[in-house]
Amino acid sequence: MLPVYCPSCHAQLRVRRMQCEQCGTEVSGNYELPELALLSPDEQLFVLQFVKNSGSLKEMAALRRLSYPTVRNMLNEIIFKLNAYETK
Amino acid sequence: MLMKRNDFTGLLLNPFSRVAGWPALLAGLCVMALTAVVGYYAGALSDGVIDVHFVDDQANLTWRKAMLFPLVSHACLVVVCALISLIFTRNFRLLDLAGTLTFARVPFLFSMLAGLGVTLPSVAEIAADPFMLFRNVGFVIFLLVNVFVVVWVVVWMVYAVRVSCDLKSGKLAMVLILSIVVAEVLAKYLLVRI
Repeated sequence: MLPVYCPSCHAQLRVRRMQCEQCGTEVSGNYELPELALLSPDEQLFVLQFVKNSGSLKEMAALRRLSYPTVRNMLNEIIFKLNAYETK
Repeated sequence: MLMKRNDFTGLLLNPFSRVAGWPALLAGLCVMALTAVVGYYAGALSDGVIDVHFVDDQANLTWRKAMLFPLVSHACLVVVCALISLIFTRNFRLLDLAGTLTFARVPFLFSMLAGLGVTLPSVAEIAADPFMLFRNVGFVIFLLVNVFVVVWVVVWMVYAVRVSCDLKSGKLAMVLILSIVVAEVLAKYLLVRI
């Protein structure tokens, strides 16, 4: 799992270095993590499944064997979190 | 195995993470009809939002009353709850709210079943000795089951509104308390005119 928060002070981490596994080239800088990476693994899986199911909450409910409003509330929570990241 | 048991306990507390909308509405209406039938034979009636009680005179309990009164009082709750919820959110489907609230009445069936076979003394006899009711084992069992069932129904109603309207804490409490009070008054007003 990609660490996104500092284990010491819980501030949001940034990307300083990336490496090509094939040739070993390293790219250094100070990059922001994509917003989706800030979501929990469960939430990321939800977004992935949601996109794969063409954004159908009905199909998501069937896939997860949950009720429609429960799935919609999960989506609302993710939207709320993403909006909060944007305004930070 | 432990996971399965936790799942089952979770569903007893909040079935609406799994069931809502049409399935909840249809199942709830079927159980409501069954509850009315059992209630008719038990001489009990659910003519309010969260109450079940014996009727004073069994002869007064007609099939029409047994079927219609719970339906009218429940319809009042759904309409009032939907209107009050609109103050805080527009992000809900009426079908989910109606379905989950209807399903939340399922435990009333146990109240009616507990009322089967209970023979109540006449009003005059109770007036002469009010404590005789508490020596009636069947009535005491009905009373205990009823208290448990009312708490259970209220818990399910809380989850029904929470899941359907995505409301939490203060807003959820306000919507539910206001809905129950207003719907109870409205139901009593309408039922005396039916």
